[in-house]
Amino acid sequence: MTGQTVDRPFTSSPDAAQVELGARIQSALHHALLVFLLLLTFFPFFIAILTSLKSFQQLLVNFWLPAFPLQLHNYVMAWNEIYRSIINSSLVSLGAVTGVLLCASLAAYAFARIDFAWRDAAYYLVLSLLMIPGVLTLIGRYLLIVQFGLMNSLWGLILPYIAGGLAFAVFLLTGFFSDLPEELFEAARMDGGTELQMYRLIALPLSRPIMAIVGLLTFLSTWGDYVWPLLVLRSPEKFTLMLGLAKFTGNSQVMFGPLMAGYVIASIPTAIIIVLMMRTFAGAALVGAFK
Amino acid sequence: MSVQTADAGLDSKLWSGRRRALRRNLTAFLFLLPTFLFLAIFMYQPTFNVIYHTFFRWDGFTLERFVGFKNYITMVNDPNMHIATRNLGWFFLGWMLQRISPFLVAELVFNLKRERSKYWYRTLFVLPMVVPFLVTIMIWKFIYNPLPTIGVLNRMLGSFGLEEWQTAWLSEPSLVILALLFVGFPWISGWPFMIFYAGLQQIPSEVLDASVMDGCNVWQRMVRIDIPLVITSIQLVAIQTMIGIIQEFAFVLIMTAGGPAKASLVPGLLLFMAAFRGDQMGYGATIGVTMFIAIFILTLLSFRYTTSPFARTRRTRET
Repeated sequence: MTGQTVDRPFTSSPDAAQVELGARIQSALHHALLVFLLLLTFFPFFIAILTSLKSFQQLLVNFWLPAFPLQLHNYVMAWNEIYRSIINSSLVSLGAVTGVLLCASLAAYAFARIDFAWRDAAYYLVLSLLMIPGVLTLIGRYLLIVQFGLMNSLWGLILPYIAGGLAFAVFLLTGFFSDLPEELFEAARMDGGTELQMYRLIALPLSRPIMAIVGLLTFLSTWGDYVWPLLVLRSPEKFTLMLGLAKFTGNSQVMFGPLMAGYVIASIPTAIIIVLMMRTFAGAALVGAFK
Repeated sequence: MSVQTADAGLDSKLWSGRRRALRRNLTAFLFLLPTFLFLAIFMYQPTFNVIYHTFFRWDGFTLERFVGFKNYITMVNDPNMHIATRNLGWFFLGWMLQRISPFLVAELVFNLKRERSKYWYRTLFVLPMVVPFLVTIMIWKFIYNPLPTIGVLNRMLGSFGLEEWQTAWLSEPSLVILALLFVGFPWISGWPFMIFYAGLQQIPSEVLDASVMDGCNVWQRMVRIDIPLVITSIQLVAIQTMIGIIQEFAFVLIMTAGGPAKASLVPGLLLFMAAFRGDQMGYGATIGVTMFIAIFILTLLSFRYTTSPFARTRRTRET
């Protein structure tokens, strides 16, 4: 697009005003196309928010525009229906994030900074797990949870989630820890620091951005999971948010307002976390991490 | 005398060196212990357990009878599996195109002139990612609602006077796959868009400037410069998408549960039904292992082809 001003420099120079006009039109079309795509992208969410503020009658009469009075009590209804599952989901995701960060950072420190026997073999043993599809282990994990007596318990979610997130987390963190300058560790070693001290006082404080990314990825994947809670949890008071929403959807035949309000509420925690991440250090690194 | 001391010194040095190595190994072992405990219990054990039991008639608990390759033979001849595989073929095609198409939008945004508008479009396009996937799915279920007064799509058709087109989108065997593929339209928001955009940003600005000087138009530049230079990002997205698609079933389970009459059945759903709704754990495991093999082969193949564009750029740079 920067080519417009120097478009075809070797042909006979057309009228400058005409070129200017052409560039303007092209730019306007360019923006129009992008705005159109944005509108299409946001359309379903827009409809969901609109519907969340209507009663069933209002929905029938006035589908496409906001209807007054706004039915704010839809949100109260939805909140009463799902707040319990939001607490459960928070506990599960928090547990999984803590577990993944703790275990993976320890292991990654060993892989990156300690020269021990069978290091490469052990590392590949972890990495090979990235190739194993989740559906393959689904059955085996389910039977384990049954054997351990963890059915219908939040631990039955947290423990497998930690294991499931570890391989990728170790992979990302090992790469980060190996890039830290050796001089830092050399100096600490001279002063008689143990590996645990170096891990705690040097590696961890320096790796906050990457830890935040690993934490975010773990949080999002556990928060949004549907299949595993469906298999493990039985009683409604243990349901995670996604199960709670599915149950709410099944129960509310014509209560589209409260239902959509529930969907909006369910999106708020993830929205807050992602926006916080974007605004702090991790935002820029987030895209870079995938490279 | 002097030889002896030197020997003793060497000996003690060797000894302390070994002790240090031993201590290092022990430290590393302790650092790795929690991770490997988790992986052994919840990853390795289930994997081998499942692979082993593909040769058994197995309900996971009491029934466990060796049947050789019977599960695999059953799977190959299972009419449900044939339907599921054919459906998966359509999903594969559609979802693959969907995940690659944000590249064009990334180009559109990347080619804007002002940095500020680039920033805003980029942010807005990824913004819907804050909505959990399941919520997006359920909103689309509302869009496809069969009632002419409630379903967003039906209502839209109604207001354009196209009442005869109104239908139960997810209960029509001939439409259901198309309807499912259409979910998420226009399919921009997501991590592929972020990866593609990051890839475009990595292109050195000299290359882009040079293309302008040489009178390259936008289309030529995209095909000749951008795509070859971000091909690794594209392949990364393609491989990840492929792995995801082959095992996908949560989406179909929520939208249609494979219906109507198996018209949207996929292998992952067949696995789920066999293992958890039919007590045929051995058969479910067999489908799982087959998917694993398929994913493994496809990943290897795509890595083979990943190296070629690299090699080409390297060679041109040398000459």
